[in-house]
Amino acid sequence: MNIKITKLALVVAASLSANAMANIEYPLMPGDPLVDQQWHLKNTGQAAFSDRGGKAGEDMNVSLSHAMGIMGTGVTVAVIDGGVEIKHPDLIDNARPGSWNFTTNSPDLAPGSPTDRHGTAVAGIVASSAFNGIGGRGVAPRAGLVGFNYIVSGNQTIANWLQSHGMYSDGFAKQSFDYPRVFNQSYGRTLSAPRSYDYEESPWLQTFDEAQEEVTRTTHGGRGAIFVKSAGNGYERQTFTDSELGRGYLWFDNANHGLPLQNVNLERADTNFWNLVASAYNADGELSSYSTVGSSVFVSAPGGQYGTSSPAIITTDVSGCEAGYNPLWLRNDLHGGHPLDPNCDYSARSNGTSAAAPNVAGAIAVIMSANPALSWLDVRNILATTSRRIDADHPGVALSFKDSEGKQVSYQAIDKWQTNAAGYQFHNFFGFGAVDVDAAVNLARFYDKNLGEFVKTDRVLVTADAEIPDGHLSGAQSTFNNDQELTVDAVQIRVNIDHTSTRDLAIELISPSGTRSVVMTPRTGTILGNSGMQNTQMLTHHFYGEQAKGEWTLRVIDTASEDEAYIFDPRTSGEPNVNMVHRNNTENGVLKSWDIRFFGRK
Amino acid sequence: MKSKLIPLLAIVGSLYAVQASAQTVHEATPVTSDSGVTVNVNGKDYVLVAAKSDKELVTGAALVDIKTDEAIVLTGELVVELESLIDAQEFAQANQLNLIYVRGNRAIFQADANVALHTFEAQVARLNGVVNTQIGFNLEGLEAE
Repeated sequence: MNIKITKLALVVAASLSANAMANIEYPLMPGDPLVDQQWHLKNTGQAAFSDRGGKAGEDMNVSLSHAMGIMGTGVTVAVIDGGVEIKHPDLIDNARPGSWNFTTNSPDLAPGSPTDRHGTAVAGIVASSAFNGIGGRGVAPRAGLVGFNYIVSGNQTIANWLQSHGMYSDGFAKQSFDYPRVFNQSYGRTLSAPRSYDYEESPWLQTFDEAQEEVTRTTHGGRGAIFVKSAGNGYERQTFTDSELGRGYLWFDNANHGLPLQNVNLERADTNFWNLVASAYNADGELSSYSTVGSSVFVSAPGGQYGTSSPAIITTDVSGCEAGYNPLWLRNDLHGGHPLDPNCDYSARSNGTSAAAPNVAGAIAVIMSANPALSWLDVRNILATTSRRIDADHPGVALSFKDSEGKQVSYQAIDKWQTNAAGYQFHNFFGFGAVDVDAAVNLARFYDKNLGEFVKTDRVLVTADAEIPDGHLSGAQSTFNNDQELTVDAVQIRVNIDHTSTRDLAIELISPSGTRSVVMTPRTGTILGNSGMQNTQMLTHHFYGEQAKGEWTLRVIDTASEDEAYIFDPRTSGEPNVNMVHRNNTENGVLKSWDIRFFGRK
Repeated sequence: MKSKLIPLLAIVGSLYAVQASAQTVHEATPVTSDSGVTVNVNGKDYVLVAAKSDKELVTGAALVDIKTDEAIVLTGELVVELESLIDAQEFAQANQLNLIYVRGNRAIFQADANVALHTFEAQVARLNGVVNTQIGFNLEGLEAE
């Protein structure tokens, strides 16, 4: 790699174009002993205490921003997670007022046990301190941190959700300097059946939606805040609870045809627009093997693999050699008292979309600090514009199956990278791509776009009553002619489908410009989805920047005509795997109706 | 869940090659209303799978959504939308309710441990100044990712 050290004055010179800057490699500034191994900040091919390194350049690209001193100053990030060791030596300097320990009902936030390690790792990825001579550093090493141990068992109440997601109970000064502008949620659920998105039968959904919309749009004098959420870790296998077999994993011997078991649009929270969802990539610049994907992924960020045979993420860990990630099986070389971490305060095995999300949260803090006047909508636009195309030659995933007439047919379930009619590149694995902090900061500093007024339209119901032929590419089709003129940010649909094997269904939405977005990939792990879909909601960012006016087409395709075998792993020691069967539907399904609404700008 | 002896080859057919042998193959099935007592929470039907009381829904009761197998546990919270001029603190004091959260006109009251939540909800819903109510619960299965 050609590394050039350039004086700051040259770096910031206005005469340098964005392209010219993008072609220059900058080293990470020294000052933290582990930073040279933090591939997610600067990937040089280092092994990061695993067996091998990855591919140089596949990283967050923070070097120039950090060199310019743009590191998140003035922006507080809320880590909604398990316990956070907020007094960790590499976090304490960034701790801000506002953290809350729901277990002890006090502001004294700390891990509840030596294995309550997740939140400390997440917080460090966002904002562990820089240039202090210990450990590594965060993406936004000068951002503020508050934490909430919401996901700890017993703490997941509605009041605690509201409190931790920015809806502080009256009495807290919400416009205070330390009120978070970024909320990180490295958590989620695995779904074995589609869920309905219906305020009538689930009023809590409305409570949560309204809360996130209010925080997003009205805080900080209208500049707002951003909720970042992990996509999930259910691509190859998923957790599954059986009433007789108990809790375990399920997977398919045929790798599920290369398709994800969990599509991000199965998780309701990921479909509500207000959450900016992140998938994970690894040090090789490919999708992390576990990362859940789908059309509501906005961007991708480093999540790594497992830190043994290939790199995971290096971050803060619960202090002590008998706590945090240190006692985990298959320790890697950092654990157990390495000279660079003699007190075992760091881990090199943090991973998952749990790690990708705080990388994005940190990036947003840096972008906001580069230009505090940016609104939440501006920041989203900057990310969509500057994220880079990763794994550029990825071909997508085609599903080959025997149709109901006995013919072997193919369905392109995940497209290769596509460029939509507005010129934005999108991939269901990576959204708009890998976050590029330096490119985003460069755009943020001189940002002069007027995006227009944000608009959320009402839902429009479309009656279809179209049969879905079993195991056949012809599918069911329904159209809607939209007469509203606006520029699309995202499109949200809800579908009502009678079907006894929702796992078979692919759902795609086609815009007036001809862009196709597969909003539900077929062969998901919805093993229990034999009651169809009732107001099941899906979101896509695929049409970002396109015009909403014109004909929108919904297609539903049943991609299976046979029963399928899969494996249940009871996970408990000594118990053998169980052969399972998933039944194909015996009757054709029916697309009864669907509704659509647009998030965009006028 | 049903257990059946099914020739595995017949099941997977052409999906992928497997050894032709008879093995025990299981089929996962969702919860049905036959699995337990059906109860309605916030207008939606659930099956009661574990409760501290056989007769009433109380804090800690575990329920499963009949349609989707989604499991929830009642938290004992009652989320209440109050009329805009109502002061939640005064309202709680006047009606001897345990107010645990308030923001604007949304208040959350915590029921005592063994209080029947449907009865509690009905009592609060009848009070002057209450616009609507919902019983609070935790959706099971949230995990760090």
